[in-house]
Amino acid sequence: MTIDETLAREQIEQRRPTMPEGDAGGGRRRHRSGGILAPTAVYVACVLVAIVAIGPFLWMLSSSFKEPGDVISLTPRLLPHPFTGENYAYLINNGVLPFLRFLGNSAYITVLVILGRLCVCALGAYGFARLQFRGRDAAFGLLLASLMIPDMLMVLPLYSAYVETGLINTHFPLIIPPIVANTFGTFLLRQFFLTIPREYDEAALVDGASHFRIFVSIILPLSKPALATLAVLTFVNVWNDFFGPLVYLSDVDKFTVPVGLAFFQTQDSTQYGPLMAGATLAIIPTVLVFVFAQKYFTRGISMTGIK
Amino acid sequence: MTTEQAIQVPADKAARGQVRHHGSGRGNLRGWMFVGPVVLGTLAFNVIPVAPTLVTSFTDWDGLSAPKFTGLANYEQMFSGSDPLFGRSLINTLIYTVGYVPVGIVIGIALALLVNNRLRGMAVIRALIFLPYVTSLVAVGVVSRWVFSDQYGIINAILAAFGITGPHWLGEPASAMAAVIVTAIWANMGFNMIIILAGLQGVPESLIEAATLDGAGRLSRFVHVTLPFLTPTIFMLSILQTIGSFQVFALILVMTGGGPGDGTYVYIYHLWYQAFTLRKMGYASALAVALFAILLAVTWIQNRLSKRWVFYQ
Repeated sequence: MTIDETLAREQIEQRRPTMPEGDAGGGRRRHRSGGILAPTAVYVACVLVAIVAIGPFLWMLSSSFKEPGDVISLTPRLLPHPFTGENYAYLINNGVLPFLRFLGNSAYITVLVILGRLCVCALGAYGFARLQFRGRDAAFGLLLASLMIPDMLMVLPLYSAYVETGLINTHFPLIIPPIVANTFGTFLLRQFFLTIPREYDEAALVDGASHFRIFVSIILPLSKPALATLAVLTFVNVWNDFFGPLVYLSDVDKFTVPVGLAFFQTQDSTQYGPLMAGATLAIIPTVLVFVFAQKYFTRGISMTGIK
Repeated sequence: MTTEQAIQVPADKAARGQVRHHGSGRGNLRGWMFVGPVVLGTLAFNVIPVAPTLVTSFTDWDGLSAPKFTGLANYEQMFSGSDPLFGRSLINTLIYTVGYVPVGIVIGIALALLVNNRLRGMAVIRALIFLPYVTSLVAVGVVSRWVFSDQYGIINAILAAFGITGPHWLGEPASAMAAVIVTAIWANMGFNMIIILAGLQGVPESLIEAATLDGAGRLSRFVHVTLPFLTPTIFMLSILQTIGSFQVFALILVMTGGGPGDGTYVYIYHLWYQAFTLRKMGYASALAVALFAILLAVTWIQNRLSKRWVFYQ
């Protein structure tokens, strides 16, 4: 059984633009500039908006390298004059709130959830997109319905269930439910799998491949863009999750970055320097992932016809 | 779209003579081996836990010892006014929602129109505007607490440059709520922009061209052609953002801690405080059930009202 992967990929590329609504298909170009302003005015407005959007982050970054006296200066300057790593050193060595530990906890939880979620959601998506079995449509309906239940309705019973089973104050509630109960990811991947031509599975079935083999050797390799999108969305959600860790954890050693940062704030609300250093460390991974994931966002946008 | 495809799949399979798998014991087992983990996981962690919330909402329970059945007492406590913070938190949540949702959407539309220009560097601008959205709300709250600081904040520094003494933003209930709303708008503007940008693509090119030929100016084209086509997107955003607004929490906890006084004390904050600080799990469950009912009602009202202004092709 040999499948020409390149050919397959090309066919998918051709099919995919029809997936989202819009009229991007066929490479038709837009004539309209779309704007109601002259180009110069657009640029001026864009620069202003960009300053508003990232200005606070730049200031945060700069202040994290300032000396304590300069952070809270009444005449703020953007570039730290005496440039110092003191705030980061304090953040890491203060002994009360081990920030490196928080980073480590967040990192391992995030990585586990991403890997686990990709497996569980992809398996489920394959089942729903490609297999026939009794109860399939009912199970799919159940997943759809579960999307409408607000989190608040399940937090309290889950909390007491974790207390009873001794899983409270462990990382279990932050890892296992996000892996096995992710309906959104299952839908996302199912939508993508449906766009992959069925002929491939059939050729492979005729050649005697099992469904698991088809899933691993054909569907997954062809679905890298969708898997990457789910991975990025999962990263942003899990890394930034605040409510879960706040509710389920009590030992400082087990905290994740957002909870650690929040505690840092209530403990030392006047020490802006270390706080800014902590906030910087908290957002660096997201910014990196976001920059890396840019092409998926832009592809999503270009698929809908915007250039 | 999903249900449509779900129906299409069996027909598709049947046409290719694959129905033989349907109903066979091995086929069923295989199917469930694939979807089993996510279905069981969703049942265990999303669906089944809803029932205990309904049950405990009729009890007095500290989460540890046996719950005491108290009938409707929790609901009476909410609606009889014996918990003034319930009313207060609901009003604060409404103020937040009314302040945040419409302005957020208007800003989203303005930004979408701005970055919909086909000029060099637009992708970078879009990415920068999107950046606050992918950042943790705790980090956003920390930064914005500082932006709004009365002595060291950049806003008051700018005001000082014009000789104005800025207010103590987070020290007064009204301005603290305003600061939280501004921060939320800032954090989410990229999301609104992207969604509306996608909506802009639904506007038929031909209609804009026809309006241009008829001599409609830019503003008139926007109001009479583009905007009506955006109403379904705006409607969807307003539902999503309202539901999100009723659950605002991280930003409040970090920026104001519900204060000053009870100025930014919102609904989820109340729920969280009752459950995890006071350990009133029964009452907190009733708050969760009431929130669900409120959200259903608000969504239903929005849906009804939408018939007056949402334009479907």
